[in-house]
Amino acid sequence: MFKLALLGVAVLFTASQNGVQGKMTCKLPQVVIPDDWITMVDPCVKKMKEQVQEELTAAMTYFAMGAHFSKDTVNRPGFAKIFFESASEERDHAIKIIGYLLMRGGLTKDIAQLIRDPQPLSETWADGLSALKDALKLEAHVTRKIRDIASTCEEPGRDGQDFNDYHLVDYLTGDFLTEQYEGQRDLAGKISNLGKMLESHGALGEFLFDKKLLNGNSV
Amino acid sequence: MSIKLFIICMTSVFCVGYVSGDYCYNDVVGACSPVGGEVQNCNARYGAFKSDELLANVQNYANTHILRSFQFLLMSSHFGNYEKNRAGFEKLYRKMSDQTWEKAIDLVKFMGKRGAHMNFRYRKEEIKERQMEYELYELASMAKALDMQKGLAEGAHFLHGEVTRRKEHDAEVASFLENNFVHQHSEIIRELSGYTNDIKQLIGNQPDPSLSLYLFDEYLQKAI
Repeated sequence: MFKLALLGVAVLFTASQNGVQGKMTCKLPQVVIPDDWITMVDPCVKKMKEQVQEELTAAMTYFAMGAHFSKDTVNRPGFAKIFFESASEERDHAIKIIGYLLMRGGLTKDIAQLIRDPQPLSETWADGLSALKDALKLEAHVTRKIRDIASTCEEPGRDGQDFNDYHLVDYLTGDFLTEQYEGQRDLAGKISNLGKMLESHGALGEFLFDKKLLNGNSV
Repeated sequence: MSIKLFIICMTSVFCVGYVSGDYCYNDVVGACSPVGGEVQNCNARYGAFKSDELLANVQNYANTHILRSFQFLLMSSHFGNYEKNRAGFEKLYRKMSDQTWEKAIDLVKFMGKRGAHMNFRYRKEEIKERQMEYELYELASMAKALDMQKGLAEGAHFLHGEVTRRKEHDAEVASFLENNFVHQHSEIIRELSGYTNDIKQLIGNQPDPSLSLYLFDEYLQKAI
């Protein structure tokens, strides 16, 4: 009898504990925060968000180049190395843009739309030279997109929102465009050197060039 | 004359018979003969990677890592907005995004090493699974992260089973998974489970757990 009572108390105790756990307050109340400091205007925010997907598409394309040149039958570890590095760099650019939007008070909703399953633009290349040429075209495309953001954010006028975003434009031209132009020059130089060797030393030229890339030599 | 012809006939029969085996050397002998030919058996594919099914499973596993990396990045970004403002959670999910991205690269390099190739478009999972909720409160996000990491760990166990018990035994693939995946998974899972239970207890039955969550976030910023 006593045992039964004890059991009953125990059951009641656990039940009440469960009852308490079921009432956990996990969501915090909304705070009213002044929003007149959030000055980025819609057309500009839209372009910046699109750029995240652009950068990640570039990242995935470099990732695919890395994968292609890692194949045993292709065997160009130097090319694979620089392309894997570029893939992670492009991903870092996307993260930098997200960071900027967060700093300016953005991305408080609809975050799922920011990254929409980016896929590589291609998965195989005829040789190292054609991959380098594709990389240069890709960089030129990304550069045009960044310039496009800058021009939109300087004069977003169309929607009646007249706000020249000096800070964003300065950040894009200073940080991003500098890196774009330097990267493009580097790729063009590589294409030039490799292209000249291929004229008469096809396979050997690419073989030697690949080992230079692998050792981190400037080529 | 007829003897010479007979010898030539015999040699060519012998050569054709020899070349038809699945060996790189045979391909090379064929390619270097006047007949010529491809050297399609000169590759690094051996062991379990001879199976297209295993290859597809590894491709799927690498693609799952890429998908998860982007999902962790979105979870991280959500906690970085000024309304959420949880730098610790932001940092934790960013670390997971970075780790799964690096693991995807490791898997692709490994496929190259074993004579296989990556296919970025191959995925076994349902499309609906990609429609994930990212704008979660602290405890729910930690729970989600824990479930996602368990999924990745179980993915590694599945592949390990394929190359040890179910299909062709392949010690190298098993060892690669052990050294680069399974132990790290167990550590991350234990860490996340600990955090989830800590948060649950800190929230307890208080009507307003905001101070507890603030302090826990501050702890996360230092702990990671």
